[in-house]
Amino acid sequence: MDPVNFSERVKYLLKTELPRGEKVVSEGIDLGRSLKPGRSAFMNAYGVNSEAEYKRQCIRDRKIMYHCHIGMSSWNETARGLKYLHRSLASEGFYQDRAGICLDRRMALPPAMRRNAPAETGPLLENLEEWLAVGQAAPIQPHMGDFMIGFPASADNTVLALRAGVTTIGNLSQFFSHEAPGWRDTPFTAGETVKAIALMGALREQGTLVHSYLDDGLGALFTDCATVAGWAFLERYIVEELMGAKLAHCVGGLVSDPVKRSGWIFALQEIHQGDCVGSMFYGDTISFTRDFSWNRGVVAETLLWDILTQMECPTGHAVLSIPVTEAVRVPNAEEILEAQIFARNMEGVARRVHPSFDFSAPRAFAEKVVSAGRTVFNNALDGLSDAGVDLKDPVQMLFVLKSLGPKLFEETFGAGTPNPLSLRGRDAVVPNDVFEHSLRSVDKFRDSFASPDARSSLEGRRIVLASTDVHEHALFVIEQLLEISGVRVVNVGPERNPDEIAHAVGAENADAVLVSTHNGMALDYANAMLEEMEERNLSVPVFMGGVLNQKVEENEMPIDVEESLQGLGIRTCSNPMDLLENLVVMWKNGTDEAE
Amino acid sequence: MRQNDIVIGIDTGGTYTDAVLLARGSGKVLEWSKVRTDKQNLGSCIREAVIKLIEKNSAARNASAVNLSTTLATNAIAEGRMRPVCLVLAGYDEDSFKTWSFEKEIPSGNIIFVRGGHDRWGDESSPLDEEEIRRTAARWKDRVEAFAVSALFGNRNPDHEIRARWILQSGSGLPCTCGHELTGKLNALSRASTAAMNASLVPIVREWMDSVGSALSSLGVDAPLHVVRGDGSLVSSTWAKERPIETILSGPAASAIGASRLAGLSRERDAVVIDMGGTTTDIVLVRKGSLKLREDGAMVGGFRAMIPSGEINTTALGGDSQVFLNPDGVISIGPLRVEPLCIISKKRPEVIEHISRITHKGGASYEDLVFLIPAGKAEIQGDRAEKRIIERSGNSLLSLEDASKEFKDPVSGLGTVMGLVRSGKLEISAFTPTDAMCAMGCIPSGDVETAVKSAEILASLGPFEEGNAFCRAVLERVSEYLSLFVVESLLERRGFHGSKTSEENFRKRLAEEIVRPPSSDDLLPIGASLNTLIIGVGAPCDAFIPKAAGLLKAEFSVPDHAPVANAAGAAAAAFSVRKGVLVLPLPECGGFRVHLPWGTSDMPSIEEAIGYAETSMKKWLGGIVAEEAEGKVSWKLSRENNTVKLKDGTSYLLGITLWFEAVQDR
Repeated sequence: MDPVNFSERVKYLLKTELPRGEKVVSEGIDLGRSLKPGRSAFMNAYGVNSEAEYKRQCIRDRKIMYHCHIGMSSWNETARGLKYLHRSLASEGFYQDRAGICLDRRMALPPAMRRNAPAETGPLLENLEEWLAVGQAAPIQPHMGDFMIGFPASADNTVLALRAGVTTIGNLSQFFSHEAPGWRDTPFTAGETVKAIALMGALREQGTLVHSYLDDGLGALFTDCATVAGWAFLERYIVEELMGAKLAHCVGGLVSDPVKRSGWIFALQEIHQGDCVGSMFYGDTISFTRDFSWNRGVVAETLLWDILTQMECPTGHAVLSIPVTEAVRVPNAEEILEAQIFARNMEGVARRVHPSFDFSAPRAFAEKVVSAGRTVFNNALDGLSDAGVDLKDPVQMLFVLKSLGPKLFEETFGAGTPNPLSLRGRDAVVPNDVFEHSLRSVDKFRDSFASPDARSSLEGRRIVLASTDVHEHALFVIEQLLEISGVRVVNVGPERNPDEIAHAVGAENADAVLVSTHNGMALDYANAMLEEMEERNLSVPVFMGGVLNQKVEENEMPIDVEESLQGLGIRTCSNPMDLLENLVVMWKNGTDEAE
Repeated sequence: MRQNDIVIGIDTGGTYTDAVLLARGSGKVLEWSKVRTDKQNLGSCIREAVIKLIEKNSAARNASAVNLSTTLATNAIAEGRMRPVCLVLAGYDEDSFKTWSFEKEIPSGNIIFVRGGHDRWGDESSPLDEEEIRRTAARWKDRVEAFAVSALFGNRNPDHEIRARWILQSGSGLPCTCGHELTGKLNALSRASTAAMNASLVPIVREWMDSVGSALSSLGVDAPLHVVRGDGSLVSSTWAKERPIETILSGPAASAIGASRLAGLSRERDAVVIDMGGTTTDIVLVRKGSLKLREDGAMVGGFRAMIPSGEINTTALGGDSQVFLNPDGVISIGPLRVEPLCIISKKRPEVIEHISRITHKGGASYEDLVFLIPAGKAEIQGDRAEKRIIERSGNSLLSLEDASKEFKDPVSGLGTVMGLVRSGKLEISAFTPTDAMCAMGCIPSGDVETAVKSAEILASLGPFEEGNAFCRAVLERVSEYLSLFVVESLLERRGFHGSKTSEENFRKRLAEEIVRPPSSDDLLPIGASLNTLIIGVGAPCDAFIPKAAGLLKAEFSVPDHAPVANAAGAAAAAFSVRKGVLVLPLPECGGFRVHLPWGTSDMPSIEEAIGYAETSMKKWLGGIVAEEAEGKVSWKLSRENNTVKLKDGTSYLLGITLWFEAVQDR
């Protein structure tokens, strides 16, 4: 068993054979020096040499930048979408500054391994030609945010993106909480990530920006905004101090309180010592429902605040207007366009409101989290150094920070007042929205899970909990609820491979497994997981919940496979109550159904 | 000069070693011989049986092949006489093993965990720790007689097992078994257990085959040796030496083949073969003329061996099972195997004296006819009462009745005595079906006077007019047991296979209802008739099969040479090797991965994948069989699709198993 105490855990982690930071950095620099970044259609259209140069112009001119996210299933469709967006906006007198290209998660793997990994949504760029086309589809600057830096293919992908004229590349945060499908070699990933960042550092003067979306990494998994701020300081230290690259931080997707949203911009400006150049500012994704008119209200409120904040404190963060359909389906080009036009209209509202708007609440938030965040940052550097980490070696830093995980980090270095009853052993300086959101879900079902019926059936059982993809908050909610019923939960976390789940079932002597899945591969995944368990001579009930669908060759959209999963022997459930009822029936009176 | 048209078949059973000279073309038994099996010296038993065969027909010396069916491997496992092995497990979860106490399911204490293993696609999960394997070879080579290696998903990609074997063999000079060669099924634990069992049998079977080989050549028989496997097929001695585990349960398989051939069963017919011996009775199912195979492997000595074997049920009922007379006059039989009274009295004359005495005295009990006999050279240990019993039984004839007087509490006394029997310190002699047959003059051996007198005494204790009536009742009871056993075995295959006490009781009750002749006032008559032929083989079957078949309203056959059906089956067996090849779709790239016994290959389409599998497997398997079968090979190919239904009614393909079977063409 791995040690759970911080310093013992670090000592244990440092026994791992890692690439030497100094060597990897110099390899990255050599790669960077030999590379001439390409020019995108956007650069030609606006007469700039990089996106960073354009961002600095926007900051100077207090101009609002707009971001959109485009997630079509192939590159051709994506390119068509970009062209359509550019043409349609231009006819209204608007322009689109940048677009995030949502790549297939397999892009994170070295090219040779991509073929065997399960496909997910988004285009897979398979050759140089396709890469180079990315920058030329339309005069909209491409942003390569996902599955690039932070993954095994970091350096290779970064080189190709730069050649295509993409200069803002991420996503460092994903290194800490994501994994490429089927990948296990974290030391290798840490080395390649460092190599890519050092490469970007070598080209800093050419306007490269290392993008890092805090909500995608451990930022979303801390309960306290102060810890998130501390983490942002740490990332800046690693990227800028150790490797000389420019870090562009992004937040927003998991922040629903507009005061906190606005406050984060002020805070990031502080954290980046007054020279913050942000990539983009993500829209609120946790307040959306299936009711589109409600969602429109959410978008209106956040856009107004986000644009106003850029007027008050320009940081180059491009504003993102999320289509109201996004919680239900992958938005199509028309829906993206509609959201963008809405944002331009909101800018008019903001310009009228700005002179009389009061920013004291966001500023107070920023002051609070920056000051506490600095404490977290200093605590962390001292703690890591005492435990034997070489603070000058970026590979060691990345590897250790990732392996520690959010819980141990926050418990050890958090800035809040110690309180054993709190989730991470401390009261949060400013609670994180997404955790408050999840806690509300927990409260909703608390009584049912605390009922004598639930407890008598579930108490003392061991359940392994995991997610096949990035979706983690469902795990958090289910974990809390099951613990209320007295279950000993082993939460192995997001993006687990079938063999990792089977391994956990064996090692933890589990009575059941719960798997959350959302990425359109439920059938393939379930089959692989059952085989991995059979191979290990394990036979425990498997529950799957989330979005139970599967991509099937001929169909463009994944199809519902709930009944097919049941045919394989998987038990399916649609919500926490459903799960509870299933578990209670199975284990009523402390006996197994099968007995 | 070898004669291609004759084959010798040999069966080394627990009680007898049989040999048969078979005409290959007609399938006729030309000659047969039977000698008592000496477990300490199986080789010389075979030699003796073959000498007898040659004496009867000197052409036996020129037989073209000698085919063996043997319980050697089965008994070695069941009796815990396995040779020490070191088992190397690559990529297994060591902590899981501890958590779930998996090591209990592996018949080797020497387990070494090393890094390695693959995932379900056959992609490497972790590089193989070759250095550790090298160290293991050096460390264990003087402490074990063989190595076994199994890797996680070694059946999907054997690379790590093959590399590990090379290192272990070259580093130790000892044989090494790979798990993937024995089974292609999932379940790494069972594969490990099967590999370890196999490895520990390798030295035993090698030594035995060598001794059989030299015994035969000393008689001038130089035909190649072949061995029957648990699925009834024949393999070369080289194959059997490498995969001895596959020979377990070869006995019942050979019996089924022999029974079918001797009874002239056609290719279209089904049959239930009842093979009755001294200790146990096996029931084997024959479907469409060949052995019906089971999917989940065979249990031996508490371990699961993942090898193909027949659908075999075994019960502790035989000619030498103990006959009980319950206080209410009902006869019950078994499960204990005892020495029949008519046999023991030939060795110990005081038995007939004792029986004559109690015949005159009158007022005897059942326990007066149960004798305790010291077992071989067992050391006299245990508490005072135990020692006294063993000593007394050694000094003079000791009946259970007299022994129980040694104890204040006869119930606990009986418990002590039975404990001594179970631990092998005492044996029991008592009335058996063999005695009943002897008393009725059905068998040539045994002391008739002892059998008749003891039957009379027992008859007087129950509602039987005289000894003969009692003996008839015993034989009827055996037939009834056999018919119940047949019905229970068939019920198990109809889904009534639960192992819980309540399920077993239900199955027994249902079987009783099925066998019991319905009476006219039954509101729900259940009685059924068996829709298949019963073939009875084994020494004492003549006396029981007709009656048992009658209870089941079934057609039956007790063919000529039924007592040597097993050896005849070995002689008649044919070469065949069957292997499955898995084809898995590779997600999204549209390709397919073929998992061959020596590695994986990726193909762009399903047609190419199947074509490639077919070409390479025919070459590989054909080579193995053709070597022994003199080039005459025919093929049986089949395909199993593993699919799951989608909402729209179409199927989603999860994988395909292609089955290749190379069969010796006759």
